[in-house]
Amino acid sequence: MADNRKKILEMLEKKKISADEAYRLLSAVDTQEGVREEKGSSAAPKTNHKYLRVTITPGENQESSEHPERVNVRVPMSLIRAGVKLTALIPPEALDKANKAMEEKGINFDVRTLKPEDIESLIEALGDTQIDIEGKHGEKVKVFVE
Amino acid sequence: MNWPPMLMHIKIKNPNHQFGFWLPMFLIVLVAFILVIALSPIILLAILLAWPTGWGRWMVNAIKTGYVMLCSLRGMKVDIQNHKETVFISVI
Repeated sequence: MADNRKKILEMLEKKKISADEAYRLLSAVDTQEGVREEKGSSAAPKTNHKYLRVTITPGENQESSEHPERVNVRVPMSLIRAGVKLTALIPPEALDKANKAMEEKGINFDVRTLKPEDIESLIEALGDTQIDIEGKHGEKVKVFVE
Repeated sequence: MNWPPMLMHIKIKNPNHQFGFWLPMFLIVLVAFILVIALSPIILLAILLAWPTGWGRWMVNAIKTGYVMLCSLRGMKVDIQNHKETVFISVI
């Protein structure tokens, strides 16, 4: 890539191209480098996120009630990754049944299309996502990645 | 490299029962490894016999995935409690 820059500068020095053209060519080289770096980073799949957390805390009204519920679940990301690999072990007939059952519930999703590569991008996207739900009794549901 | 979990802490509490214990996973894993090594000729034979049907590959993948899942359990924590009941599971 450094060769390309050098050639462009040499061409500019020899006045074979104008400064504007040199600028455009150098920008094109920069863009190409950016694309390559992005591809390189997507090849490295691991993210810094270690756990998927789900917490449910009761609302202020519920604290005094008889059945306040607290949930604190921490699932390692590696377990989710391993779980996706488990789909490869499920017999096709069982997958068909699972797909059919999900379709009946209105979820149009083919479990067979879920691949370990997809889960990486899903986990990456989860890192930027935080789900906050507040129930009608004031209970708070949080789903996030840490 | 991920190592298998060392301990599992289980605590269950309800109005009738209350118990909590530490499960020494390292001992269970050790015993399981010894069992797998002792049974390896039978397992290998079963895999070889089942290979033409396609189930041999499935068995190899199942053993591999099972081990990976066991190692991945480390750090898992489930803590659910309400007024009367508590369920706590932690894998260390």
